[in-house]
Amino acid sequence: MKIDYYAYQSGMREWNAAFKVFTALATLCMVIFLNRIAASLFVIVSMGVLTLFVGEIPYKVYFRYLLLPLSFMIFSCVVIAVSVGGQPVGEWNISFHFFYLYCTGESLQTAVEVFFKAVAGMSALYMMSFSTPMSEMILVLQRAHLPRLFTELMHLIYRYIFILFDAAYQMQTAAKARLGYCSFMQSCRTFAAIGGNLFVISLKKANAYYDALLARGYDGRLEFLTEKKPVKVWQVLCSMLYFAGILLIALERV
Amino acid sequence: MKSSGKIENIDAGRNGDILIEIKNLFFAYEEKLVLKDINFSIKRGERIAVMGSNGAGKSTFFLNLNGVLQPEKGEIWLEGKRVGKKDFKELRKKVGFVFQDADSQIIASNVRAEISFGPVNLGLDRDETVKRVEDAVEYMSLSNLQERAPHYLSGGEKKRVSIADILAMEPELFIFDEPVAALDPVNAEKVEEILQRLHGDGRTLLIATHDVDFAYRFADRILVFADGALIADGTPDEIFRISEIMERAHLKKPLLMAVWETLAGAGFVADAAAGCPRTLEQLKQKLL
Repeated sequence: MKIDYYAYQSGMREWNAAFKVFTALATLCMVIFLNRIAASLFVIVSMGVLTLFVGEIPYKVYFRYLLLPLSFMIFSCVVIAVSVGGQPVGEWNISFHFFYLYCTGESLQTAVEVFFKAVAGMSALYMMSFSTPMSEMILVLQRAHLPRLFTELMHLIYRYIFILFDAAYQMQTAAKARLGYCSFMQSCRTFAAIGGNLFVISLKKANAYYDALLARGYDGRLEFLTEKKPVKVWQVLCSMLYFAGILLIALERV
Repeated sequence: MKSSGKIENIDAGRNGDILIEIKNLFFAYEEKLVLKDINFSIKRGERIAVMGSNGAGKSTFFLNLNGVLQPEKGEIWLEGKRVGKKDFKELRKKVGFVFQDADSQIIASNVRAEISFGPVNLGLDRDETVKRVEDAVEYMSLSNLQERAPHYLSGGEKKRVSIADILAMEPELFIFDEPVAALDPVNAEKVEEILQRLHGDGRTLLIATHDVDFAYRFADRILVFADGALIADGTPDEIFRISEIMERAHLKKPLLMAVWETLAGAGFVADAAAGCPRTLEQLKQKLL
């Protein structure tokens, strides 16, 4: 949710959305298939620089978001690196009397590779989401020939989330003001009441919404003026150079 | 604030023609009669306040005027032509409706796209749409908010966006459902200035409001609804003098009128018969 807020203020907001999505996805694919730590490190640093300095996203925010999946990644990498076995094999092992936890140089290598690959993929995707608001992302999907039904639904849901959040927040505040959360049981009851109320409110709002749509001539197609943001030549050149750079670093076997 | 070319371009010569006429209009929400036998007409360039207690049928009536709801019985005439069962889309083009809750009207995820929704639905080409959007943005002084997402705007800004939405469709008749409800005094004043400006540009305005002081100073004509019926139709001076209507419609006398009557009763005013002032400025002029 907050990512979207920053995307609206990004310095890369004026860039063509499809171009950004393509660059991020292409980088992601390259990182996965090349499978080189050096290439991953290069992507992590370069995407970070792009998001922080060109996109002007506050670095605190960026690192907080990067840390979110980090704990998850560390655990998965530990699982990859460490195996369970009956014999003391591998370069390192710990005896647990009944079984051994061991770790070979090879598995450690894989774990580190996977870890950097994952972080690199994350930073490429963050570059995309920290610079492209949801609405533009939906337009890209629409241009990629995703069925209109999906894209229009995505659009409405996206706009509606904020309205419902607002309604839920107001009800929660009102409940708090009347000691709605004074005990655990009361909190549960309040939560249930708010949930039910939210459903009724959403139905009511949907009605009002539909009336407003009709009043402005809606006839089954949700369409807006789309801003033309042409891809600039220097952007294409830079991305080409960038991809070439990743390839070179990967093939150098650093 | 200068207004843009397109919006100024109103055929003021036609002011005074009948724009819309309602004859014997009835409307029911599943058996429950909400609007009963509504009859009246609106002339071009009029500014009309629509008053009445909550649930008197104002909003339903507006949705009927706009073609979103279809009347059970009765006729709507638009520019001298009867609106048939298949022409309700025509009504939606000619009658613009600014909803009370801007949040239930705004659907796009940035301000420019939002304003373009109406013009795009009108089937205008890209150049004309862009022009309409830009004119509306300028008219409502929204240029620094154009790229913003509606959910990060303040209440007053959202209201201005919701008015720009309708402005870009260039309807003949503007309907406002309680335009200043839930706004702070400064923002309310801004909206009132916008309404004033629209009137100055020759627009026809129909405004639902509970604010008697606003209705008294702003409107040329007041329609009063009670229990789904139109119980009064006249100038503010006429309407606010009939206590029976005021009681039925849960209205109160405008402050300025009450003050004026008190002053007149105490003999402080020389020409009490000349009519009550409608603004503070007029009151000062009359007293000094």
